Amino acid sequence: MYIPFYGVLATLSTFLPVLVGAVRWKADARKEVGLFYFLLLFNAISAGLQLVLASFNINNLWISHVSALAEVELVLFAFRSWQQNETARTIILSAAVFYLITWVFLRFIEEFTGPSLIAFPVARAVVMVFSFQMLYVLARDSEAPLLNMPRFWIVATTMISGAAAIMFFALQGMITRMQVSEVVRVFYAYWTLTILLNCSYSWAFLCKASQTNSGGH
Amino acid sequence: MQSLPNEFWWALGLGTVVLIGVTVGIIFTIVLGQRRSFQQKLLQAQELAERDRKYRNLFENSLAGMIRFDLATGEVLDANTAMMRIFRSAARDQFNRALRANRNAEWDRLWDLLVTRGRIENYEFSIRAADGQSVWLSISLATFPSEGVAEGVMVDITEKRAAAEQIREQAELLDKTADAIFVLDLTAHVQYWNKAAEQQFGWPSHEVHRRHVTDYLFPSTLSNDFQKAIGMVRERGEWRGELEISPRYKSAIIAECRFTLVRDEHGHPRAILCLASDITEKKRLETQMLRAQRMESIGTLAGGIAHDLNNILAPIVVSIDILKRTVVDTLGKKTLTAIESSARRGADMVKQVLTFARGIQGERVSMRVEHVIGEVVRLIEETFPRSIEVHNEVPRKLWPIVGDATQIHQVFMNLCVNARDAMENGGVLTLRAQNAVVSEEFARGQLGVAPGPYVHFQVSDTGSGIPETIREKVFEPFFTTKEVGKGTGLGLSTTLGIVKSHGGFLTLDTALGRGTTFHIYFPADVADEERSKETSVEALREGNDELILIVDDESALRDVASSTLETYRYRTITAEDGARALEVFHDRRDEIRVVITDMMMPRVGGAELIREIRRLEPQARIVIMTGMRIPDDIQIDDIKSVDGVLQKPFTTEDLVRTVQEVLLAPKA
Repeated sequence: MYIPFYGVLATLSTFLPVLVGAVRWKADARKEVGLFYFLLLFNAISAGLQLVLASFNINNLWISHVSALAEVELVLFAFRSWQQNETARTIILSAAVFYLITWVFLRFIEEFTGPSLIAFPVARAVVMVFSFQMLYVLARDSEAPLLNMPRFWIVATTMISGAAAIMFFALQGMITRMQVSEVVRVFYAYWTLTILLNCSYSWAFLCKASQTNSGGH
Repeated sequence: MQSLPNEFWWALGLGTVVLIGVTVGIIFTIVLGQRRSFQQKLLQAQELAERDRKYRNLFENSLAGMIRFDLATGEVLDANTAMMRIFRSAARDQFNRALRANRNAEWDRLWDLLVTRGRIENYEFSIRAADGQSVWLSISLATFPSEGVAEGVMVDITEKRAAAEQIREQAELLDKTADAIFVLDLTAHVQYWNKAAEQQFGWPSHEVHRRHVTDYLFPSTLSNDFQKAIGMVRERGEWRGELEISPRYKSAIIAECRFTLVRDEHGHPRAILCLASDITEKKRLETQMLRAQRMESIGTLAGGIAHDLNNILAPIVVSIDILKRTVVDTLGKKTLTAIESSARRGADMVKQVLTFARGIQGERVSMRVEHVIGEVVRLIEETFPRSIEVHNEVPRKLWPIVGDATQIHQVFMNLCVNARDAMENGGVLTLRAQNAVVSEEFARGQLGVAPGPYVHFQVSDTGSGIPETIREKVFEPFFTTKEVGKGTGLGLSTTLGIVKSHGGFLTLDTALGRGTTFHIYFPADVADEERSKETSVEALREGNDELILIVDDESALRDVASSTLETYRYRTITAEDGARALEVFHDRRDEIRVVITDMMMPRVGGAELIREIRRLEPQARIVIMTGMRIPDDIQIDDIKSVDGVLQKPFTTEDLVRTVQEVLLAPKA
């Protein structure tokens, strides 16, 4: 199957935050981002795998099912580790368990080899809700400007990513029935957004260093 | 595969853009809001840091020691350099060690007080500094339980205390002197007033402080002399002289004063130091001495003349008897009778003069004067004009005296005749008597009078009174205000001679237009106990072993009051001043039923004693003994609150009856 270069570039862009995070791991990434880094790593790997499978015309739709579960659980556990409030932590844990049960239940409804029409949108919605809550907590408790905080960029990017994906996944059923020439237009938009969001994730690892440098040291 | 309509693309594109836009908008709003909030926080933090810096500077540079403790453990969390200086510590470790070394029982008390009350202010506490020196601190601390700390200041007051101690010692010395010392500012307002001034003038220091001295010591009639003296002090820097001063509870006294101008370091007048010694008694005794010397001279002179007159009259009287035998004609006999009468009258006068001059030593026996007075009253009731009402208020059971009944009779007759002559238009003649104990204080004021038991007689009339100008002369022989031929001027001088020869003394109170009272004191014969018991007042009920505390600085009065009360079955305990009395009262307050106290005493006076006793035992029964007149408008609560007053000199009956009445009176 032919995959446009732009698609490959978008897929490669998912490795950018992983690389930058790895470079900044010792400096502050481990402490600031923690578990979320593994989500980025998982996203990069799954995107790469999807690209490879697609290029060999092998069905890769099952990856989106796994990604939905991995994304929700990793995001929620990452957010939980950033929370101080015990109630919030409990709610997040409950949501993670609930989503796991839902995902398992959905296995009886959704074809694993078909598009993830429920699990993925639900996952996005859950992530959106808790991202919003996380953003509120960060804004309330932060002792520094939000723009200088890696976690802000992570959360904000996750929120935008979720918002952008909602319509896409909502209309996924229709898109899969579209002609390839038309689908490509959608994917170009999606890839553009993916590149931008990955840049944003990458900036999450650099914003602190930028702040430090601009401090004149 | 199907081709999707344009609406699908619009929905997808627009929906996505809107969702992203909304999300970005939310994020942007939150970022902006947080940025504003962060800037405010930053500003606040900067202000806080600036304030913290200022307070830190204040903390570190303060001259007072500032300290912060952990409220739970009492450990020091922070202390400034001044605190370390106070503890003579060069470093924090040394300071901590020094502070820990001072955590004794007294520190624990301080800490308990702080924790209980939440704050302590100006708590004076002695510590041992790191160099071993003793340092006095004034500690003010407050707890802040929400922060779990206690913080405050400690100020080194070692020098201040030493200075205060020195001032206190000096003030104590000033208080120990018998002279009244007071300091006035240049407008004559009191700045300082020592204890002797309080005792002499009756005004406590706190009542006169900052008041004008003429308000209470120099009323308008006396203030001119004082103003002149102050003027002289301002002019010459010093003034010495005598001033009449009006104390609170006494009649005016004469004080020998020394006023000195006190100047400041620049030589400007600052205050007037006044020293005043009460010389009233000295002056009075001097006057009495002069009068006695004068009377003695007159007596000697009169005695000499009387002796010569006797020598002159004796041949005349003797010759008349011889001539009576030879002269036979009527005229001659009449003439001789007239000569004889005049000569005998002259001889009687000479005898009276000799009575005054030498005194008469007749037969002295123990006698009851009330019988003699009874005879005198009978005689005067028969002979005096009906316009004169005679009141005999002499009780039956007086102490006996040792004397010559004839002479005593003459004393009362002379005084009654004088009273009659003073009441030409009629009036009331009253004779009173009572047993009395003359105190040392009272005796000191009378020349040649010994303290002890006396029988005190009063002969009062409501006549014209004796003018002040002749008051000094009434006891002189041949001094009379009566018409020529109506009086010899020997009545009072003879009376004085008889009273003195009996070891007694005589005083008089007189007021023009209101009358005169002669007070005659004869020493009581209380040596014979049986007789003394006989003369005691039978009507008085005996006590029931109640304990009475008697407080007086005069031992004679204490002893007499004590033995009198013990005769009436009371138990007594005595104290020589207020301080000792307070100790006794403190130890035996449950036993003591009545406290009888003098008012003017050294160390702790009567008023202060009453106040302290009332504080310890509000229901205590208190009787005051005083020789002073207590003004009706007196404002002192302490004296007002007493249960009885004994006016000195008092009788046995007065004493016992007052104690009985006070014991029987109900107490709230």
